[in-house]
Amino acid sequence: MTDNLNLPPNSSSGLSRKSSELRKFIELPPEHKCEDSEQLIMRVLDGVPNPSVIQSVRNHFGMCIQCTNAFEIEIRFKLAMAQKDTVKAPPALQLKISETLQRIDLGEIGIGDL
Amino acid sequence: MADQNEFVENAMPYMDQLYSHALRLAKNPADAEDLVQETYLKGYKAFESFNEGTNLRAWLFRILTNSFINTYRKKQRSFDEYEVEDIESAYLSTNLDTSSSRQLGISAEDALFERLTDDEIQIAVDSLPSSYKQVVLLADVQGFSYKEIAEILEIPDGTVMSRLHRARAKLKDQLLDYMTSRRLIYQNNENNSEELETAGAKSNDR
Repeated sequence: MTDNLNLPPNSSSGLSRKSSELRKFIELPPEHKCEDSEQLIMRVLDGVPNPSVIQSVRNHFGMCIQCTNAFEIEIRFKLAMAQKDTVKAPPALQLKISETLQRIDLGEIGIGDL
Repeated sequence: MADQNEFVENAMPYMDQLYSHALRLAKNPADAEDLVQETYLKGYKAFESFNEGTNLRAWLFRILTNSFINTYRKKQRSFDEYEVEDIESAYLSTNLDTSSSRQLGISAEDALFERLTDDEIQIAVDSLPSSYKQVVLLADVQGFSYKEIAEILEIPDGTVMSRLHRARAKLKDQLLDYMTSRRLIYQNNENNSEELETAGAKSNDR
């Protein structure tokens, strides 16, 4: 079930590449077209929002109230959700898992028993 | 090929994020703890097959998600897959102009999110069908990309985006209903922004 996941590598260069691709998308064409907005907003919402990209999109939409509203609703919700606090795992759970893995390392528990 | 000895060092820093996500899915601490423990034990067991360079965090979230689905889906019959599929089929005919955005001006949205507490958002998220909830939590709380979410949930990228779009629309409507029902805002199709700002001023005076 966990084999061959083929997940993308976790690298910071991915973020900068995404920003640069987004910037091209935002800047070209210079004229705002409402029909492109949905695709643009979905791309900006992909992953962790970049503040400079958010500002560029705001500038791009300019005086288009409909697209600005649509974007602000989406980005404000995303930012509100991102600010939700992470609940810390109970220390007892951390200890229990660490001890279990340690016992496996020491051979006290067989990995086949998991 | 990864060395299992590296698993503890590399995977343990994600425990708070995994626990937090498990708690939001399972809704109680005991089940969340079981999920996290199961995730680490399965992860340890499978770590030999983990390819270096793969996103470990996404890999662990995928194990946790599969464990949740396999274990708790059997218990909780509140999964509304059929509803999700129905809604997804309707997604193709939707556009950016959701009911919320039609009804609200931008100042109304400012007020909406500024006055919502963490608990209120949590209640709204909990009310979503499970498939929607998972996508929202992975995308907006955990900050995973669409591609990563598609891998974690084993669904196509397009399905991730359609579920996310529909989930956000539902959430906005629910949060709006919540605030309207508590008279935090007044809802009216006309001059809505003006009324909301008035309501905000009253609220601040209290």
